[in-house]
Amino acid sequence: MSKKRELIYYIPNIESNKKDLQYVHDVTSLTLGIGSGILTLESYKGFLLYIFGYTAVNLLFYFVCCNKKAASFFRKPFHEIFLEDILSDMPGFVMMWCLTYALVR
Amino acid sequence: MEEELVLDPQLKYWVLIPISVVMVLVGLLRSSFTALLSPGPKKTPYKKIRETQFLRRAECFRASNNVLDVNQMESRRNYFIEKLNSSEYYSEKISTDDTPKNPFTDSSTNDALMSMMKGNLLNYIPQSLIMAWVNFFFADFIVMKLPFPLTDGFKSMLQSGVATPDLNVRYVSAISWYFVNLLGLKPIYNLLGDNEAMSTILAQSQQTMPNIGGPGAPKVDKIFQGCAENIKLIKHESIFDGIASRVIDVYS
Amino acid sequence: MSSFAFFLIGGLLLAHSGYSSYELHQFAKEFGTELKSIPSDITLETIAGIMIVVIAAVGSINKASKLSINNEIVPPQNRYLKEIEMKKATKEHETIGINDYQGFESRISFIDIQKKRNEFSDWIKKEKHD
Repeated sequence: MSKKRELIYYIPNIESNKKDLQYVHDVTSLTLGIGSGILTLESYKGFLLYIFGYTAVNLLFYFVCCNKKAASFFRKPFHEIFLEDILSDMPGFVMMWCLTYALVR
Repeated sequence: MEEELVLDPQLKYWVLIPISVVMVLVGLLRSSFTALLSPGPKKTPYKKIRETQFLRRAECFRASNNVLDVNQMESRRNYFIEKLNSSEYYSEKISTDDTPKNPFTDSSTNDALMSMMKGNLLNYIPQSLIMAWVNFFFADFIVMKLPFPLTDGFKSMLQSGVATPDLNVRYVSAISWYFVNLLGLKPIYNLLGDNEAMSTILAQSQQTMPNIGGPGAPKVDKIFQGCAENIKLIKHESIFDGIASRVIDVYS
Repeated sequence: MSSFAFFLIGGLLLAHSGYSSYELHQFAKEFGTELKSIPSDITLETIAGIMIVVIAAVGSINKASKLSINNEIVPPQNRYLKEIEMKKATKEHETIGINDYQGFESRISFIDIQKKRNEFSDWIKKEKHD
């Protein structure tokens, strides 16, 4: 049998991993928003902080949680961890940024 | 460096924070209301359920028949073909007249329409109430300065009601803080453990149509016969073929 | 529990740096001086706060050990996430002896009552003989 074996996934664990990742992303985007509000960053600097901070947290997640074998926890590890949520988590970041920016000044 | 506008700090405490708190609370309240108002599982006549479940069983057999060996496969195939071609599992007698029924006399259709309308109202009413509240109490307020510059195109939206044409777009009115909240509250709801609250607010556009059994719906005997045809055509490949060599392959 | 302490420390750091930043801006407004940049201690405190909160979030998703049906403590396969491949995911169920759907499978209608009664009567008979 030279045919490539078909991988069968266990759906509840996929959901659970997604939820954990979403949790980390939510906390990250809110905290980064608070941080950049406190530092009163303006325009592109805030977004740069968001992108760098977000990617740094993803790297932390990749190396600590996934233990360098992300393929056994996510179907498309790189895409799911680093790219998929970066835009959809941006509004949360912007909201906290605006709020703390307005409160601090 | 342009001149800074001095905003009264009380605006932050009495406009920004109340709007956020109200929006979070209304979102949570709304999701509990949806749970309360959603009707429980509806009672369907058992023959109807039996029909759909038999059909689903046949579909499952079609999808995952490769866990059976050849003998089991053939006996089940014969069983399904026989039952699908007989009328044993039909929920009601097949009527021969082809005059389409009026879909609105059917009670199940009315229920579906009703629940859809309830869902829609629960989506729209709280949002428009909050918007009216913000517009009524905080009309024409300049409440905050955004931390990022925007183009002048946003002026009409974010500074509506502010009669200062040359004001920098970064100073925005209360209603735009409402919009920022509307978009950005998703992580907060997630952390509060309430995924429903936001997912429905933003998914207003993608309402699914209720299943109206109109004249277009195919008759049950056609579906059953089609399913029987499909089962006849299954090319069976058992997972037990050569399983020993594959297991050895994986674990060697 | 430790992640809660981390969240607390990080939150306190953020709150304190926020307050410092607030006072700084009030001061600057009062005396009409223009702020060139945020002082480095506030910046450092904010960044430290963000890092601690994030580390707490990453650390708080770890999985607890489970008690198996043989009264043994089974540590999770991986500390943070769950395997998604079927054959690895079900391995854990087998060591514990309980799967995710045990609640459904041990409902009354799924239990073979007659078999259980036979087992019980056999056992009773055996006990009486002894």
